[in-house]
Amino acid sequence: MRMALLLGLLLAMAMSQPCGDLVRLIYPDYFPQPVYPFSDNPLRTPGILLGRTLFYDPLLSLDNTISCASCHAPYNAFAHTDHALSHGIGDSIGLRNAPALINLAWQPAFMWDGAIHHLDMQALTPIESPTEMGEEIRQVVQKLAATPYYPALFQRAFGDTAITGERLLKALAQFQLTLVSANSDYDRMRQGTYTFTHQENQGYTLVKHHCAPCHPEPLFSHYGYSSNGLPIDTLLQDAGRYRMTGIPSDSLLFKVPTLRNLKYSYPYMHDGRFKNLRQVLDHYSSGVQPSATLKKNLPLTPEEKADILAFLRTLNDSSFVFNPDFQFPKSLLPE
Amino acid sequence: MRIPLLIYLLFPVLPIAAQPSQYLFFEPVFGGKSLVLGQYYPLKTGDSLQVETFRFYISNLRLLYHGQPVFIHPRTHLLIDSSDPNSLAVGYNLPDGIHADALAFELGVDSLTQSKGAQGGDLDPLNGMYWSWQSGYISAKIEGKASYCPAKGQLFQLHLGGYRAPWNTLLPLTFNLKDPDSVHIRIALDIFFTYANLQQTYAVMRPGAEAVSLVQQLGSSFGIKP
Repeated sequence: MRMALLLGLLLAMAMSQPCGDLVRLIYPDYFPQPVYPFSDNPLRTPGILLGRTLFYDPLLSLDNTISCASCHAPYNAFAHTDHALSHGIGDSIGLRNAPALINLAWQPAFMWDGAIHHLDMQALTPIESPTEMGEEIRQVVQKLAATPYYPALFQRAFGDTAITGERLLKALAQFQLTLVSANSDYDRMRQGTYTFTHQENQGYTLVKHHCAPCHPEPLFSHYGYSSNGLPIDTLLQDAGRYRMTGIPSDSLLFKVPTLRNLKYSYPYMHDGRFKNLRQVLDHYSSGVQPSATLKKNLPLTPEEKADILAFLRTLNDSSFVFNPDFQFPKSLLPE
Repeated sequence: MRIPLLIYLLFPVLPIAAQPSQYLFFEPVFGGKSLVLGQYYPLKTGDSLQVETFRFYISNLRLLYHGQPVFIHPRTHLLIDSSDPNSLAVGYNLPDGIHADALAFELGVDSLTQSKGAQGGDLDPLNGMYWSWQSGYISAKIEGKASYCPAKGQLFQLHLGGYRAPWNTLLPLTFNLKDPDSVHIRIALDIFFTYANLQQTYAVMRPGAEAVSLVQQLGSSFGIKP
């Protein structure tokens, strides 16, 4: 009798409760508080593993060819090296450069124009975009339920085998929230275990002076919207945040990306038009189209550009890029 | 002894989920009769029109007495879908002795709920009522064909939503009641389509002035069946 009662209680708890130990997001004390509401979607080991499995699974796309990782590869700091614009099913080409996925728990909005207000809901956009995965989330859920392994992964993460849109999106968010990069030379400098070279220090001072209004440390973005001083691409005709809000002053404003891990995430800018950082600095020193949020060229000498590049190299975090916890999961390998 | 106890422990909600004692019925109508999805209706103008999809959210369903809430429905958000008869009959259990003289709810999903992450049940994005290109729930989705609609295949698609100023579509509605035990709300879509100009506005898929205006027109086609 007591046995049955205990068993019943355990089963009842297992059926309705997410399972697994809570995982605390680890980040340095000089980082601000994350903005993601973890109380609505607490990180747990099985949820993170499920999210990681989904992230690498091309089943999320209409023809089962494109996964999240297709355009957000770990070795590219979860961006898409060498591809100016994002790719999708059937060789379709998107409108913008696939952004690097770094420190997402601190971002209040997503996409280059801030169209998405919550990390949970972000994955819906590429899944249903005709030039990305081109699938309906309703179909994705059915495909997942028909596999031999996903029901068990959902059970471990959420307590029962039901596969819903809510759980799918929350699991993907859980994995992406773990993509914290805070182990660069810059971070070691902040923690007192690395000393900047003279040139790195010069570059640090220059970045704090010229770049910090949009790229403040330690996240190296304010995650608001600014002009990047680029003329509009006549073919893409991408007016940035204006497309979303319809407010004329939002024309050509884009969400400011982080400066972390630039070594891995080329090409640069919202449409990937610059292949290297030298071109980016040349643009900011002589090519800026003046606007309200970027009034004029930054006066940089060739020596100062070299100093800035030296500092930017201290923001590369190889332990992030090669973190085994972020790679293709064994759960997707055939048994 | 063991088995019933185990069942009770496994399904602790069973005793609470009793049959509802009251129902609120939503009945989409066209020309005074229950809407049949996919059926062409002749219009006075000589045109014809059919509705293939009609779905909308209501939030914070409550009964009022002298303007004060006396009963709030436990399900804060309800998806009402013409193609799902179960969703058209909203059950509830009124405590004894409740007096109510009005019914109120909002058409759409409130901004606090909109600002949250992934949600389940009626709010699950699987229901096709969440925009995928921009965050936000669609308040009402009305799709079909009209002979006077100039779009490809005469198709009209009204995805009405938006929760940020100045294009907030959340619409509070209040109805006076005679009998709170039996409430029947009719949505006269023929009236809606006399307001909506499908010759000019047949594809609405983003927040804006058109969505705000169309939701107000939809709201004005709601009425209590006498």
